[in-house]
Amino acid sequence: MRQLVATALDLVERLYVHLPLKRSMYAVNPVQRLRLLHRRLESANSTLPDRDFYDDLLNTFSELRDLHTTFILPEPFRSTTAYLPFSIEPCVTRGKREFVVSHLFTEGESGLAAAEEKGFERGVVVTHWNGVEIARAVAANASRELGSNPAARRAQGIASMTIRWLGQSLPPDEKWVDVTYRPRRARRDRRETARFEWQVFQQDRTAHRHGVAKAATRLRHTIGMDERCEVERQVRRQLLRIRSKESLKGLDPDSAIVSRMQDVFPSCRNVVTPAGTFGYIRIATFNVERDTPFLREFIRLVKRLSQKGLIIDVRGNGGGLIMAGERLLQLITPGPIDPVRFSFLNTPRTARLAANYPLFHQWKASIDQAVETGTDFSQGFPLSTAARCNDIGQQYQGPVVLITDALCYSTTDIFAAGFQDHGIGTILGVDPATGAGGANVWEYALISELAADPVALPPELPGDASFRFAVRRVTRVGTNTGLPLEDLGVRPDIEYRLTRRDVLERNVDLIDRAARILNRQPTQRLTVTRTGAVTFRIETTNIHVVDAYLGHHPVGHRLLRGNTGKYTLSLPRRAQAGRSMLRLEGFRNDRLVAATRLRLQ
Amino acid sequence: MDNDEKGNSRKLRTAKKATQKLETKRDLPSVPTAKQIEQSLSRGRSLTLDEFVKSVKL
Repeated sequence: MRQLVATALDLVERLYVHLPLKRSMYAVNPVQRLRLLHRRLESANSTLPDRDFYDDLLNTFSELRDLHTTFILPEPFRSTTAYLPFSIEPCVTRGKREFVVSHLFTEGESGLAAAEEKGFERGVVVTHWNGVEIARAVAANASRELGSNPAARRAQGIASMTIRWLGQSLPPDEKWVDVTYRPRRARRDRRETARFEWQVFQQDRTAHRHGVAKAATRLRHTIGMDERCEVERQVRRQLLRIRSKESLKGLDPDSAIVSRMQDVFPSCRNVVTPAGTFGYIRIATFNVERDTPFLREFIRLVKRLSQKGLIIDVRGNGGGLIMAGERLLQLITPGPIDPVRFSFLNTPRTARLAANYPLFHQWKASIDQAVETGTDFSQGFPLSTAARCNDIGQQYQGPVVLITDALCYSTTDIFAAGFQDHGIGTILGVDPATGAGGANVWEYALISELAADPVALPPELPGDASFRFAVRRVTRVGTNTGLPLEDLGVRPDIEYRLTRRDVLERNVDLIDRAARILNRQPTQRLTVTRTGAVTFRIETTNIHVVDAYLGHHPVGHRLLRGNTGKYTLSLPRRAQAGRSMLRLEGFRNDRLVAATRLRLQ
Repeated sequence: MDNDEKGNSRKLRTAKKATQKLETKRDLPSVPTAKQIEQSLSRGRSLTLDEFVKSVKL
């Protein structure tokens, strides 16, 4: 126990990048709290039960309201998730907020079968939870959650009513829950109550140590993810699969285009709405092994969708590989992407990291200077270079709408911030802000390896417990240059309240709303095809001017008349020599609206 | 060289070794692969909370 507290103290004081912010924002002092706990454990007659100790340590971290920075309980808790056999979602019906049962899932006997006989099914409205009015019960649950802002805490509070990863919270105190609900097709004043037992889902851990981040080993230092959200998403998906007794493809039967990465892109289809037909793609997670295959699959999918407009839905996406989110931006905009900046906290430990590893050398000078400047944070640098964030270029040229909620976290926050800061399109949010996780998070095993300080940070912690820490904080770029993401998140351009039809009929009203936004925006098209050794055919729609570049050098400028146009661009072999890429930029009213590239060799 | 200095130089050597490893970008702590994660989920099982609580020492 003492080892765990000593390690936590070291990391909070010397590595935790949000410590100054959290101290100020929430008036908390985790350092002092950990010191007191350490002292309590040191006293000779200390008999602190395990449960009290874990509660104290978990509470110390939950006060920080940071989903990145957590204590992870030892096995068997960390591979176990408690759940009720259904989930609830909020929606607005006739101006009134309701909580509707959105999914049913179970493997064992949990009371669901008995409840189903009493009319408990998808779509019933939950009115009370253990006798407490549901809105009050959700609010009470939300107040205990780690979310960085009220919207995030509320969203986390609703989710944790029915599912809880035990790696980050001890088992629920209550063994069952009494749920009062209004059956469908019943009189408005009729109520039924059903009792559900909490179940736990235990992942098999015979083959390996527990973990959910799928990033390749060499990319472990570039993760931005809410681990709890990701575990619960994976478990929920598994439980749904068990109930449906089908492959995951069956979960989205209308998905016209089946992804090779079903876990990441569970839904990809054209949606027919009163405002027109548009593409819709859901990105459930950025938790992937490598970013390039993820990008390739995204390109393959969106090329098959309507080019009139694209709806990207990232609700419930807890993040993953930061590079996957950042590099995705270039595919949906013609302009260059400026990646977000990451800064360390200035401490002796981060100074040593920057000095010891070439990967972190660029942060070294500013951390060393902190002795003189007295600043809390190092200079900010991107995780992926600007060149890498722009190495593919635009692949989808139609207008884009991004749908967010308060469960979007970390990499997804970074993606949404980049979307807004580069003016890529409209953000339609079902909550007032995203989850506000503005940092790069490292797992304890990685921290211990990099710190190479086995006395203070031993490779193994007692009982296989662990920590995760926000190590580099994010600041935004573009019109929001320098603003932190942590605790603030990304505010949508338009707020939207989910309807009952959204919860039960695959987001039909939400998609209609997004379609109306897309329908107001012009579309454009710019394509290039090689027709000969020195000739290229260029076709345009709704573009006034085309500029051509070989490498960084301009090689053509063409004014176009009419809505559609085509012309041939000739480039002598001499001009092409040594240049590998032909790049075209299309402008309308002096605004860059489309871009395309052609590899020459 | 006193004990502290010896300890420091040992730490520095360990750090240098780790640096060399990281440069190859292959030797960070080993972690479960995406396939192993999927397997651990598909081989998972459900039980009641009561059964679970009885099986752990708290």
